[in-house]
Amino acid sequence: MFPTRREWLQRSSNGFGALALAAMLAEESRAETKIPALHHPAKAKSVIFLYMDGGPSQVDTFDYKPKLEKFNGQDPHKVLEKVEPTQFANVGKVMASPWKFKQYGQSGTWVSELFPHVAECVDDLAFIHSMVSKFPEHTSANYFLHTGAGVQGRPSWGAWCGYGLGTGNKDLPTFVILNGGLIPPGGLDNFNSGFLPAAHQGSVFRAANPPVANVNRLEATEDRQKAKLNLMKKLDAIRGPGSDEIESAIANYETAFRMQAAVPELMDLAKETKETKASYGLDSKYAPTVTFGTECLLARRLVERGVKFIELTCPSVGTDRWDQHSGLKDGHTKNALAVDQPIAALLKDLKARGLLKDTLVIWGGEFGRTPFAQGGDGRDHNQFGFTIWMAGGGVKGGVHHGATDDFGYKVVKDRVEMHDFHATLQHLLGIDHKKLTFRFGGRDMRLTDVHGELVKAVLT
Amino acid sequence: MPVARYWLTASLLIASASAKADGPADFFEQKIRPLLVEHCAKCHGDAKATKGKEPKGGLRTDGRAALLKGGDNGPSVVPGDLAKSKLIEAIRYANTDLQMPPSGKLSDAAIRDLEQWVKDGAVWPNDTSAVETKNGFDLAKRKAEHWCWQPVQNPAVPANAGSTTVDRFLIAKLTEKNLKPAPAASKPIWLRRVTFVLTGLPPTPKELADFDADTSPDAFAKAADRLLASPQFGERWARHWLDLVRYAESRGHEFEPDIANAFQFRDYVIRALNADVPYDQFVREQLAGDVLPKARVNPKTGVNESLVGSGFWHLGEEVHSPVDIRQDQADRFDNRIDVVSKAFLGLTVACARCHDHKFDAIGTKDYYALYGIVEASAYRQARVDGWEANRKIAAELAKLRESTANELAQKIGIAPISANTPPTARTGKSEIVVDYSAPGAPWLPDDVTFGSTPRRAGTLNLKAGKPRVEPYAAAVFDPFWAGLKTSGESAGDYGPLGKTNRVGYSIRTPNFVLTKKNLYYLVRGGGTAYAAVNGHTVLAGPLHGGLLQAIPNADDYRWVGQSVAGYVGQRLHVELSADLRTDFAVAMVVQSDEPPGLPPVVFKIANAPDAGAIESIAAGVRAAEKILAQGVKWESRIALAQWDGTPVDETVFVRGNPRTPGAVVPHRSLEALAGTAGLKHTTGSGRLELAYQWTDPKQNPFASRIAVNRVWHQLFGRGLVPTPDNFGLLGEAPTHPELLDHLATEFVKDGWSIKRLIRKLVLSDAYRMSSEGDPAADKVDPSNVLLHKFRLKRLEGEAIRDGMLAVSGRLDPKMEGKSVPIFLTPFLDGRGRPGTGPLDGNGRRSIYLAVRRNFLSPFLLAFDTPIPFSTVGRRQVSNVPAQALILLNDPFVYGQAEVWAKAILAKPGTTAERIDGMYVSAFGRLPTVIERETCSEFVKAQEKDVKSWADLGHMLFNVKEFIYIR
Repeated sequence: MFPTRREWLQRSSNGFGALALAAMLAEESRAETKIPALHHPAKAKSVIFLYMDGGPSQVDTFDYKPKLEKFNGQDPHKVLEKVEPTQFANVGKVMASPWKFKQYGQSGTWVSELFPHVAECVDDLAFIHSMVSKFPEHTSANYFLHTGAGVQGRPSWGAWCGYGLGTGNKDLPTFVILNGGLIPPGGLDNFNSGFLPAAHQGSVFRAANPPVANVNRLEATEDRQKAKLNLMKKLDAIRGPGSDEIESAIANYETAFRMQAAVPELMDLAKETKETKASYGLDSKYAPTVTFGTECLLARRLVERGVKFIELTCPSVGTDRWDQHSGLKDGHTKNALAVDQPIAALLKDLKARGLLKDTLVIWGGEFGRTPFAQGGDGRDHNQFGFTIWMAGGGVKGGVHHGATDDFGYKVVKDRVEMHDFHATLQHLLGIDHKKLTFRFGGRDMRLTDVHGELVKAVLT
Repeated sequence: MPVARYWLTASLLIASASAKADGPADFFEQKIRPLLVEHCAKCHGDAKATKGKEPKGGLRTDGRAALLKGGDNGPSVVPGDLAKSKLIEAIRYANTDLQMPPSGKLSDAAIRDLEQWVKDGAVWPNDTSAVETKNGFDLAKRKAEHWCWQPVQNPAVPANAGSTTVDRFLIAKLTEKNLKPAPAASKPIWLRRVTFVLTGLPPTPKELADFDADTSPDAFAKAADRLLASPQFGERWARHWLDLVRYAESRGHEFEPDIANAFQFRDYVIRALNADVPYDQFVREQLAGDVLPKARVNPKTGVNESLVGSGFWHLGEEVHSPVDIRQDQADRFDNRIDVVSKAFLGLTVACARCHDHKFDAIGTKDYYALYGIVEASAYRQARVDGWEANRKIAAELAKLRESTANELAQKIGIAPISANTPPTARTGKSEIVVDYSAPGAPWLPDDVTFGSTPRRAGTLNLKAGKPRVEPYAAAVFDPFWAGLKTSGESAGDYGPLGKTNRVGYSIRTPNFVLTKKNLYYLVRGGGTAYAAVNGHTVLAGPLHGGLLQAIPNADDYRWVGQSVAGYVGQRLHVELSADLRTDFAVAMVVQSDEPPGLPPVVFKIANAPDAGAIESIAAGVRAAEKILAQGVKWESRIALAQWDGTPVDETVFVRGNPRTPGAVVPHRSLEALAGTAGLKHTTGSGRLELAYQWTDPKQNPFASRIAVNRVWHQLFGRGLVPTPDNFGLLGEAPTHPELLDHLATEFVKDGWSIKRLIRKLVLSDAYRMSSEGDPAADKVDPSNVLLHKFRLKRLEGEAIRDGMLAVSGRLDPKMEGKSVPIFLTPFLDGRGRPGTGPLDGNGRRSIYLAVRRNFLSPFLLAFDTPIPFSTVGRRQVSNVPAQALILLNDPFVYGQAEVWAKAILAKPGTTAERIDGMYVSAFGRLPTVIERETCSEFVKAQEKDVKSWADLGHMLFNVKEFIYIR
């Protein structure tokens, strides 16, 4: 008969990280990890969220509004039914998009010049043009997008995902943030586990050394670290069988030890072909494109390794995130240049490798921007109507759901609340958003609070 | 009534009837019913249409009566009145909060039809919809049926062999299951356990040796007393308290503004716990320390401790430049209500924000009753040092001013300018906010610098040695105080408010609702006015800058206006602050659309002053002021505090939306505790009276129960009520209700002493039990709910970090003061990134590490230190690989191992002696033979090498025994 792990550890004299032990623990921990049963079959196994921090302008990207040209330069108070208060209260004239739009694909989707590469993929994308948020301030809107509440301290959607689905790879975190340089306003709490166990917290990776906090050993050689770990293991074993808690704390060291190897292996792009790297823009002359391209390529590698939720933050382009209160043309051009080619490459690469059907890719910001100017050449925050798109597992390609008015200002058709979006996201992952709850402070908390309707129109 | 006749009547009454169909019934059937069925029924129809779901917003649209009754927002249809009909508002899509149907705006024709239908009286033939009564929220029934609302009992102590009453209650439950308590743990285990739990630090080798050597019967009691008396006790237990009050030093949000001087609150908690301030007093101080009739003044430092305690309210997250300033208030206050009710009552009142509580005896009216109390008071920074000294001087100063006025009156006298001047008629169409000539005008200064009452009109005084008459009754800043200073470590507020010198020089108006476009201040001298709309305080960014208004200096009274047109309808108060270099006084504050006229001056100096006589009076005043000045405590620290205002009765926000006000609720406590009558008080906001109610065990069974349960939770690892922040229906019921009530009763009898409660519990046999129990007992009580053995406990992140510092010898025992910034790794990034701190935090205990909302310590987070957003009385205890990675690879941990190794090698000793010493420091015990050999083997090759010993120390930090107490 196989000894129990406890017995085994007690009489073990094998070295730390020995293959047999590793395999055995991996086996056991898989059995121990409570992977909650899915509520229904999942359409997507992993999520990649391309977070367009700052709020890209819908009317300059994917929500084409020819009427803006007609009313360009006019007083929005005369043209629009009602102009709502804005963050900067500096309402200028109606402002046409500085970019031209063209139709692409069989779906005939209108895309602006900002996204020539993504435009090639439109038939794989499902656009929601009728997103609304409750908050016109960055931080509240970021928290709302990530956690379903406009305040600090709630679990991020990636944390909910880990809590609901368990892990797909014991050697890597379930929820990974690839930090391109810009942590969104509200900070790391956008990625936190809130009241869920700390295990579900997002881990921030960056394309530098070390890629993750505390993943590099301090010892000069692996042998030295192993020697130390063996000492620890012996001393722990001498204490005899402890409680289950102590036993699993011991097991954590095996995982940690493997993570030390798994992370460098993940980050090492040497085995990627030259063509692949080039397609992601890794040889681009524009440094932010290289940064975001690397993030996108890493995102694919994370998907391949079973990581459940991957969020990419934007690289700094020298002006600001997608938050062009002034200098719309310059800022949006640079931000789009940084992400367009890498995103298209990611979509195509996932598709070519047969991964897109199991991966949900989401593009969007925390809100959109006003169709009228802020001051002379910027746009202010607009939570009354903006566009996101989704692609991949369980999502129809080439569809357009909902609509804003003729100016791209407010939703007039098929309004999609953040909670609806979250419900749909969880649905695609096999989770019924009403059933995935965690009791905190006297309530069974959900990502969707007490709301949420599926956006069925975009589902296959 | 037959349809046809009704139609006739309606068309006679409403001449505009012009339905296109043949008659109203046909019009309804052809046009209206199909619209309602197609676009509304799925969410607002009968159970069949909604597939069994509750109708959304409490609204049914499948009948006339149902529409007339409406939903949570009020009547959906008011026949004939388009403006009042929510249905029409919703379909017009103009209100972004209320747009129906959600799938998209109806066609213009459909909207016209529905408008027509409502205008024509909303005819609905054969309406059978009965108005259902709402799903019954029966507060009295819920209160009667749940244990937590019942008065605390004083149950008889069971008779058994237990040596303390606590043990007897526990044994009684164990006996029911044929269980016995585990035998006692060894003395060193007990000492390590109690030392960590009471001080957050491991016992020193000397403490272990002393305790081992002490064979007297009261050795345990002496050890407990020593630990309870150590200053580290307060540092340890303050951290538990800070978890309850979402303590942080920044506001979070986009740019992480400081909560200026928040650390003063942290230090207040440490001192209060060390001083064993009675728990009821401690709670009252946090609820209403600014208005307690007798402030608790620190005998050593002169700090007004109670005032610092009231900073509790203002430790939450806040937003700068909110676009919707009222919604922002609702979100901020929701956090305050959530925290105040969980921390002090163990109830989730915030669940009643949008509707009556789903499970507990808490109505939505309760929520808004508390909202009014929160709304009535404001944020401020307050001077806290020299409290009594300066009040004494202020009283003397008042006498001096009075006597000077009398002397001057004797010498020169005052005369009425005109006998028939009308007293008022001076403010035109304005509404008075405060008029300091009116008797009983709310007197709300932030310190002593405006005296204790308004100065009367006609009072004679001296300005630059010259006599003058005060033209109006006014709040007059006394320049005697112009030399007040804030001490070096005190910080100002974020943004422009922090750049004005307000602390100690300000007076606030009552709360009022803005109905006019401008505020006007009748002022002399210079200063600033801050119109605190909805209690907004993080003034920065593009919006709301106009709330802060400079008042330029002028010698005479005039009206200074401030435009606040964008805030009409909001509630606010104004904070007026003196520019110290000027002769600042405020006589009146009004709101008005146009500038008001100056009130007439009614007194003048009667006789020409005799320069010599005046100078002799002036010289006397100067001399007296000089003497008084010596008694003043000029320098003070400042701390965040409450600023009490005038009562506010808020409306219910229907469905939690501040834009849909419902009925007004008097400010009060919870109905289930104190009924529906408003709080009775003659002055202030009512917060003080609430504080007394909540700490009166006769009126509030939660006060004592929740406190003893929290202490029990920290000592035994699991509360008698396992959900310490929720005693409601969704919380867990007490495992030992009699013991809970027994402890609560004794706690109150014993003067609410936390230290004596802890002493009693740690000296019980239960606390001495081994954590290794009888395997048979584990089968009967697998989760150890009945406490048949001691519960193994993983140390908190703070205790792990502090333990390393203590063991390595790096621990700096310095107490209190500004926080040490945390060490920033490249992974801690984002807006508002502060400067980095030292890797080892200067050796300070973890409670002194900065708590910045967006830059929390990754070490502490990994070991479950909570994110400061709400009350957390029970921390998670997670077990994740990130913890192993930190203990293995974090340079701080390794650095401490090196510090430790150096200290060990610096002293003489054999390898075995050194290993023994390390074991005692780290684990409170000697190594076994095999442990000693294993360690010795490890360092054997390089016994002289620090690195070798550091590696050993590093691994001892990683041995599980280091982070667990048994």
